[in-house]
Amino acid sequence: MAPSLSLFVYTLLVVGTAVAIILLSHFLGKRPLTDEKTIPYECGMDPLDTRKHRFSIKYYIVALLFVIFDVEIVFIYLWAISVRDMGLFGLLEMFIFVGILLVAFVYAWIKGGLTWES
Amino acid sequence: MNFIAPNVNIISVMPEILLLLSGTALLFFRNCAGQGKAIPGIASAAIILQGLMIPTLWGNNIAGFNSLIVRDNFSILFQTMVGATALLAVAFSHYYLKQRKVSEGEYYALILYAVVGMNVMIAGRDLLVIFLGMEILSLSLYVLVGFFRDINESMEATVKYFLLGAFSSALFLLGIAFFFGALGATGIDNVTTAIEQSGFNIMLLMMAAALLCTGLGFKIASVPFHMWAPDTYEGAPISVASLLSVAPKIAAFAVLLRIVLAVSPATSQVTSYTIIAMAVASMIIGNITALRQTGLIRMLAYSGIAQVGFMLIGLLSPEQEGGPALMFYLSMYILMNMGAFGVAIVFSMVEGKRLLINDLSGIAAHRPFLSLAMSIFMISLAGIPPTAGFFAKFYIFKTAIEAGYLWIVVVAVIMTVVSLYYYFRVIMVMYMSEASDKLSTVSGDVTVIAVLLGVLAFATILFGIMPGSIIGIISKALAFM
Amino acid sequence: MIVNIIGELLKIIIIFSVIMGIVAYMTLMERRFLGFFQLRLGPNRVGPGGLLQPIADGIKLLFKEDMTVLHARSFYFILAPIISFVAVLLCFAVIPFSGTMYITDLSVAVLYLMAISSAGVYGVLLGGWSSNNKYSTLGAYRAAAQMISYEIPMALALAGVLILSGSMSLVDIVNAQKGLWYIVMQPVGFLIFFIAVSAETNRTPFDFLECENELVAGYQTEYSSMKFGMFYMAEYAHILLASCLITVFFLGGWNGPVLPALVWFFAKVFAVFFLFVWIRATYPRLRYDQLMAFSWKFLLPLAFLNLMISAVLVVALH
Repeated sequence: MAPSLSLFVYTLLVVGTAVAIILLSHFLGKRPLTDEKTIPYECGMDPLDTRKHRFSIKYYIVALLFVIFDVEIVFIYLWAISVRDMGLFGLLEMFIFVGILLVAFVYAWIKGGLTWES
Repeated sequence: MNFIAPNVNIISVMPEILLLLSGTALLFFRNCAGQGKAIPGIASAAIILQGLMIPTLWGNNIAGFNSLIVRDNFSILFQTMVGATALLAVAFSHYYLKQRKVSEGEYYALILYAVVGMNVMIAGRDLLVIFLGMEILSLSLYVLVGFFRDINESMEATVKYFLLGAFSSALFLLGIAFFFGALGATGIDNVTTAIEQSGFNIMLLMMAAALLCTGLGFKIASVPFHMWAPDTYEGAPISVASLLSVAPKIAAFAVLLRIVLAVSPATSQVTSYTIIAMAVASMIIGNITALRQTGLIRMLAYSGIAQVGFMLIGLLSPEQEGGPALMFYLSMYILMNMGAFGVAIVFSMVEGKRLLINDLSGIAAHRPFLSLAMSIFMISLAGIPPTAGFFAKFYIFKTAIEAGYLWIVVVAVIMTVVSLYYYFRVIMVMYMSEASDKLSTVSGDVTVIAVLLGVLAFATILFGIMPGSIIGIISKALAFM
Repeated sequence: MIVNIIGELLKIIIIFSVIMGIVAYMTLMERRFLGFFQLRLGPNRVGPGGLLQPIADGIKLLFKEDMTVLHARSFYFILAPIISFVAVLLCFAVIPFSGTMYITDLSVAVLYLMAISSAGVYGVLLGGWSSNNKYSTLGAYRAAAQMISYEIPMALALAGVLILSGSMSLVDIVNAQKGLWYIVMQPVGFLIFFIAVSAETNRTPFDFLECENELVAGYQTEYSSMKFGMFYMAEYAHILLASCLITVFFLGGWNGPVLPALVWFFAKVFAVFFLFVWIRATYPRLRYDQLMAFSWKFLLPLAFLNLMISAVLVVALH
């Protein structure tokens, strides 16, 4: 069987199992007896506000940095498996590439993008 | 597995590497005491150095990165123009930022990065490389426009510019996709070979040309892609607006010229219809809207849109005289538009708010030289002899008539007459109105900026009288066409 | 032909069932081990030595009240545990348990692993966000930031392995370790990978996902019944996956003398799993800012250094 076909069958199996479990518990499980049970938990009190939370800008910065580095890792992987064949040229190229990235990294560090307490 | 190293030829991008390195060094400068002059000093030194490097490549057609980047004379000339603009913008910025006491390192670094982006756009021979340059330029400008985060107008300007800019970039990218679909490659030179073998899909190529024009039309702020320009120019720091109103246009026109030259033999009349529509609409809407403006920067923004309309006429006959005429117009546009923005910066130093045309009333009595310079720039923008603006317009109209577009020239001349009203109103307000106290006391050290403005004004008149030397250089640069 | 296909299908089903079985009994193992570490017995009442405990848990969860919180975004609320569960289990498709016992041998297996496993963040994030609960949302933000932060050092540590193996196929990587395990050649890479992977699986000392004394139970607060059960299974499947990955990348996979390949493989996997439990029983939780700083300011530069030095050495010795 082709590798992609086995993968496909396995994916079907996993997704099917997941959905089956959810459905099974849906039909087997009891319904909540009272409406109060479905109120979001907040240490026993009625919730004070809705889900319109604000969140710290730090999470956003982390996500941005993550995108930069994650995309770069895709390049690094391709380079890593062929670095033997590329020899010195590949090494230099990657040093330049990583060097540029590290400059950005150091800049983010200096600017406090990696620090959590303000 | 055999690995073949690509032909990089690092010399071909030396100027850009220099700019990148010095820009990156600037990022780490803090605005401590004593560094106030060092940062713009480094920035200008970098631009001057790369400006000196670029002409040494003159005539050599140095290619790098498997000919993705080619430094022919055409790109060298455009890059020199960009460098000159950026240098002026750095000088203006120094005076503008000094009043506002902000951290400067990032500001100048972004200007240098923008220059890198424009250089790549101009020298790129592949649409993807051009797109890369365009994005480097745009991202730097988005940040620069919103550099003063605590000013609401600035934030509004940058959000508008960013959203519309991102959208136009996407259209440009889609254009590249269509281009690839038509030709199976993204190199601009591929069109020529494809025409010879007549192996391409004409509809796809026309779609590509239209979408690419949209993306670039946004960068040059031509109607119907101009809506961002007035708000952005007005909200941005004026020093950034001066850069924004000139430099990206130069780069985008270089790309447009290349694309039109390559595509127009294949798509017959369609490209020229598009350009005619853009040119006429820009001239009419730009000039007529400018009549009603009260803000100086807003008026200059609409005047810039109108000027783009005049420049687009040069694209109608690119392989004949149109190309040189367009380049001459652009180089003169640097002088007069940067000059006008420079004067606006000097005046804005006192008045923190939006600068109105009426704020200039009676300024001539207090600031005779600045007023004289402003008058020269206005006269030149209006296109009245003996200034450079006149000859630029004359040259471009001449090429259009020779190419058989008489009616467009008639429209252009009428619109020039319309433009006299708002350009002359500035002069009239400065000389004829009662003096208001608002701007009577321009403070601060304005020596360098005054000298620069003097040089610009002098050059505006000089090249109006003797345009021959510039045209000589330009025709040499375009000799390959 | 037909026999072949049936054989392949059987193999897929067997591998899937074995994984599910191991995951179920890993919960029991962990509870019993933790019990011993804390000088108590752990669950030992259901069946001999508590062996039927996971089954009893499963049945209990199935019959629990199936609640959806008031004003929750119910579609995402149900989708989140499915994403978590599927994202982890799909990763097992490329794990070679022995020279022949694997579902598929992709040539880009490492990329596949990174892509699929990082989709698990969506499960956590959607689960917390759709719950309409402060603690859940806070926990989800924290957990997502933590997981993406540690993914980068993890991926960079793997790049060191890729330099040595020259292939992204896991079978090739294991075969390349016939002589020398990569833990010997990449000790720093192993440490980085181990730390990062424990953060990815949200194990103590990185269990900010739950953080029960600050955030009740993090993103799982509002989940009950089998939806909670699926998060729970996904968590343990993730630990099993982490143990398998460490075995494959650094401990030579199924390679070993005398004993059959499968025995070697699972012996190594359970050794690594025991290490995870040991660490959980030993270390307290970090502070959140320390956790983020550790990833960005220490692990990431270290991983870059490790990568570059490995590359230089490989090129120099080649």
